[in-house]
Formats: sequence, C-alpha cells, structure tokens
Amino acid sequence: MGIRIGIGSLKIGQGSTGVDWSSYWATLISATVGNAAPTDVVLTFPSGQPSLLATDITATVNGVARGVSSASWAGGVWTVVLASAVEYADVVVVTFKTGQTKTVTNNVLTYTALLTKTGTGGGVSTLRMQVSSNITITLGANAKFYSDAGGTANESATWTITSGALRTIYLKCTTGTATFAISDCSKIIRWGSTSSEGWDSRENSASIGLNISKLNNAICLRTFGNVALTGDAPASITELLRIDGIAYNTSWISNGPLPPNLLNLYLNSNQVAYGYNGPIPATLQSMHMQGALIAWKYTGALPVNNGYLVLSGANIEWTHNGNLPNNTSYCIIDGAKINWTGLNVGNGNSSWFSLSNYRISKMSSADMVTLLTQMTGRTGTLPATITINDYADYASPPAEVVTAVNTLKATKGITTVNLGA
Amino acid sequence: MKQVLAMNYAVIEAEEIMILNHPTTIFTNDDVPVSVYDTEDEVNYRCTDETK
Repeated sequence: MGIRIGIGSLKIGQGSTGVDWSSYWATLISATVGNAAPTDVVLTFPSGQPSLLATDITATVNGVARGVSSASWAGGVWTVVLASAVEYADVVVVTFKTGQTKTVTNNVLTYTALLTKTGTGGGVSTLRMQVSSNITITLGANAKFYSDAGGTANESATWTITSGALRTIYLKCTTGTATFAISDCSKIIRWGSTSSEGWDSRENSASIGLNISKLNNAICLRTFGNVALTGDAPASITELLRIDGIAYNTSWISNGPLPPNLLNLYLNSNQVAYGYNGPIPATLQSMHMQGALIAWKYTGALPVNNGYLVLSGANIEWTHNGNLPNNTSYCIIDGAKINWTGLNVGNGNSSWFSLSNYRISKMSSADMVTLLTQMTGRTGTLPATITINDYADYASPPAEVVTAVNTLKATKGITTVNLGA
Repeated sequence: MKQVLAMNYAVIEAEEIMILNHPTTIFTNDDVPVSVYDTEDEVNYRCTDETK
C-alpha cells in the first residue's frame, strides 16, 4: 500500500472549494434591484459560483437587517431574493460571507404608504399633488378615490396624476387600513402648495402613514390633519414644509436637519416630535414651531431673513443673546426652555409681538429700559398690544421703566404694553 | 395713561378683547377698560355675561 502525503496551499478566505472568496467578491461587476422584481438583488459577476448559497450573504435595508429568502445562479448572475420588497429610495447593502459589502443600486420606483381609518371612516380626505410625469396611485381594498369633495362620485381604486398643475382628488378609508401605492415616487414635485393643503384630513377621515424622506424630488409638502409621518424632511424641499393640525392626530418623528434651502417652515401639533440638535436653514423666511414634543435645540442666531417667528413649546431649547432677525414682522416666543436674552427685536413692520416666555432668568429693569428704548427707536411699526414677560420687577416697575413705556407708546402709537412675570 | 397690576387674570377691552392669565402690569390708555379677576371662573362669567 502506498502512502501519499499531500501538502496544500489553502489561502485565507479560501474554502474547501479552493476558491479565494475575497478575490471573487472583488470581481463583482454590479449590484442592482429593479422595479419589476423589487425583492431581487441581482449581483453580476464575470463568472458564476453555484456553490454559493443564500446563507452566504446577508442584507440590510435602511440599516435594518432584511432576511434572504433564497438565491439562485444563472451564468454569472447571482439573484438574491429578499424577504420583502425594496421600495423607492431605500438604501440596500449586502454583506458577503467574507465580510465584504456592496451598496446596491436601487432602481425601484414604487413606494407604498398606508392609510388608516379614523373614527367612523366616513370622512373625506383631500389629496393634491403635482408631478413631473404621469404616475398612478393605487389604493388597497379598504379605500377608494372619488372625484368630488363629498366622496360619492366616480369611485375608483386608482388615480392617474397627469403632469402639469397641481391635481386634486378625494378619498375615503372606511375600514381598517389600506395601502397607498405610488407608482413612481421620484415624479412628485409638490404635495400641496403654498396656498393649498396637499393632504387635508379631518374628523373621521383617513390618516396617512408616510415616510417623507421618500419625497426626495418634492419642493413642497403641506399637510393638515390626520397624518403619521416619519423620516427626515428631504433636502429637495424649498418652498414649504408644513405639518399642521394641533386638534388632530398629526404626528411626525424626525431628528434630522431641515432641508438646507427651505424658505418656510410650519410645524403645529403636539404630536410632532422634531428633535434635531443644530441650526435651522439659513434661508428661512418664516418659521413656526408650535408643539409640546418639538425639541429643537440650538444656540445661535436665527436666519437673518426670517420675518415670521413663532416658537412655542415646552421642549424647544433655543438659546441666543443677540438680536432677533432684523425684519422680524411677527413674533411669539413662548417656551420654558427658550433663553433669548437679546435686547434688540429688529426693525421690521410688526403685526404681532409677544415675548410670553422667552428667557430663563428674569430680565432686569435696566435691560427692560434698553429693550423698550430699542423698540422705540426701531424703524418698523409695532402692533397695538405688546407683551413682554419674564420681567423681574413686573409688579412694581421703577420710574425709568414707566417712562420708557410711555415713550414707546407715544412714539409708536401703541395702545397697551403688558410687562409680566 | 393708566397702569394696572393684575396678579392673576385681567380682561383688557382695547381694539380687541385680550385676556391675561399671568401676573402683569398693564400700561394702557385711559379710555381702555381693564378688569382684574382672581379666578378663571370669574373671567368666564364676565365673558359669558358680555355675550348675552
């Protein structure tokens, strides 16, 4: 009997097949997922390796693990089937058994939001969109589109939105939930406008669950009433980001920055949980943040061109000891954690002025005189009533403050000045 | 000009009616009625009476 002694040359990363898997993965030509098969990640190699199985690769979608159901080879193409479909703008990453990763090119265009019945379900929601090319929205079984605001005419499960102007339709979700499948999310350029709600849904009307980061070609998003929004606001939004509905179930959860070129911001709901820590867009011309869960935190000046200013909420933490923007024309500051200690309110023509709760420590009489004097000397007009709270000597203002108030009233034609605790 | 200290509630009847619920010294014109109240109920009664 002969004895043969074999001397191998197995490399690191090389399995029993003798293949150097790290080197093989490095030959990967492309990784894509497409609209026709949104569960299928297609990995193209110069040549196939049929010994590779579904267990040799993992995937994440938007950073969350997504199961691999199966995998198959056809020539040099390895098709890895995910447990559920990829949607528009999802970030898909696959990790090979060697630990090497590849970001998948996501060509999926569809995105599916979710409608949920509220109350009786008999209410009608109004939907307005503008698109750059025709798209279709298809509803699940429990919801229907209508051509009239009463929700009775031309019932349909689909709405084809034609490009051009803002288009309007109405819908009801009468039972449970219903899918709201957008055929090509990339074509939405306005969901509402500066003058019209994009989603208007009040008593007994549907709530829409929507990841607004998917609207990454939209320049306007405006909702009123029942919404359950997630995701950071896309950078594309410039005209208006408005989420309104303090009397409804109007929620948005985001800790991300606002769109960098945004002009108008309007957040008005006690269920909007906006928790970004950092500056707001320098382009803002109007900003309204009102809500108990808004926890924007920032130390520094407001955008220089901002005119309309409402900051109202127990968890807003804006700190600044400089001027308000020069053309401030509407001002409400009301928040227990806000600490604006500046003494200059700008020079714009002002239609409303209320510093209800705007600083942590109380203002001294000396500072009050400085503020009142600046307001007296400012260029712009002031409203008939002015309120300035957080004043230490509110109960017995000294003579110099009374004089400054009288001068302000006489100079600017103000009827009432309230100096409060 | 008149100066009114309201420790709890005040109703100021200027161009528009304004209700304060915060300790405040009010500086307003002599012809502007200012009423001071201790409780919200008193304010509500006052406002209800106004609408009758």
